[in-house]
Amino acid sequence: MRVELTQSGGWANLTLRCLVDSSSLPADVAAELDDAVQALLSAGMGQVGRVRDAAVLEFKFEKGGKVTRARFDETAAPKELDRVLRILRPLLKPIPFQAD
Amino acid sequence: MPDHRHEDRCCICGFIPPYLVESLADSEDARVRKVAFATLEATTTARATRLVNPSQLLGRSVAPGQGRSRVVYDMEGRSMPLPGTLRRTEYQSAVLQDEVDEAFENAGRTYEFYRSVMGLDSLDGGGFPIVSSVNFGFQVGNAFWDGERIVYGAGDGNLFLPFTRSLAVAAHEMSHGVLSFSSDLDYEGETGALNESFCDVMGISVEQYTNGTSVAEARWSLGAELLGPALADVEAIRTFEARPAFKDHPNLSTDPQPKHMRDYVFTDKDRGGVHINSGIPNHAFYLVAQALGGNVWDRSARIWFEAFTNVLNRRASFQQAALATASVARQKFGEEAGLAVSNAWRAVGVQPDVRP
Ligand SMILES: [Zn+2]
Repeated sequence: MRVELTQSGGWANLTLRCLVDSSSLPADVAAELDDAVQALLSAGMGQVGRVRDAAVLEFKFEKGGKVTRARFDETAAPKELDRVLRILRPLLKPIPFQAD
Repeated sequence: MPDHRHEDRCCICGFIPPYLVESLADSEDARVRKVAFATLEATTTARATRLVNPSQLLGRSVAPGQGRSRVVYDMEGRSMPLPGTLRRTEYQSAVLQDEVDEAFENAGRTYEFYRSVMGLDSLDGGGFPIVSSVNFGFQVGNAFWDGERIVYGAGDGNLFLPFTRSLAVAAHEMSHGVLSFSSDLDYEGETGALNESFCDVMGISVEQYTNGTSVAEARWSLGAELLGPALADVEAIRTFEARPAFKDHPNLSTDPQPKHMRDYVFTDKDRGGVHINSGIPNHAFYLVAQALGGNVWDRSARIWFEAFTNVLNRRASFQQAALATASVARQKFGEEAGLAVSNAWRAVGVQPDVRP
């Protein structure tokens, strides 16, 4: 599985991105990532409409020739997001802002 | 012109179906993604939109009253449930935990600014308890206003340091609260950029007021104290000045904030670029402050506060903000001040004389 995460918005509004191929991860971490992604994709999302400055997390998952995209406000689905972000967040690197 | 696609008066709402798009292999077409996302956003927003009076939030954390009432909770790296574990209340001394004490002190400084300069007793004028939750989530390099409290991440220590370090951030987030109790400006497109700009303006004004720095002495940029070792070569995250906060950075390239209407950024990101296009009204405020001189809290910040909280409506445009600030300046401080404000807006490409 390949996972791309792009974080944008938030108070600082810097864009951060990482691209991870789970085959490059230790087997237990790869398994946890796969499981966490499945949980995230089936999670209900608590929408918090009056939040100001929440960052936006955009995911692109590729597995078995299928591409799945998902976009979450950082305050949504906190439990499921947290599992994925514990693996991916340390890998984020800053990139230039892109309007599109 | 940016549109205002949805109402945004809702509060914390019930759970809704997953917010995701499944596409068949190789759906790389950006337009397809955009349409799919927009559809889902419209659906979720419609479901989530429920009118809730902000005052209904009062009972959730601490009972309202008159005067300063600060409470700080600790999320201890968790992202739910908010607010977390109670660490410090108004009459307690420092608990010697940096994030908790910083959030507490910065809430106090912001309260003091609003009370002394603007005559406002807390965020709602009625002693709204100022609740902060620190150490939110795993390595979160951000702070946000969640509709009833300020939530701070502690950063990853590499890109970002704890967001409690910045007084301007604390005051910015609390100012979102002030707006929600007054004009309730939308958070999308041009109006959203005004919302963001007001909070940046109040953030830097609280910083200058607390430090006792004049317009001439002040640092007119934000965020330097939040940058970790990996971004140590970035001077600041954004600046009110005409120059970019960073330029040709090896990772970030150049600060994308415009300072003139000709450079307004049309984007689907960041709710129509609310943190991007805020650069235009921010720069207008900077020019007003430079023209009026002295201390920012003497006139410039008071003009902005009055216009944004008492005059503007919740769908205001840059032009309406120009008209409102110029009018308030004239009424409060005379023709010369009004002219200074009009000239500042003109300099960023907004015409304050034409009634929209
Ligand atoms: Zn903000």
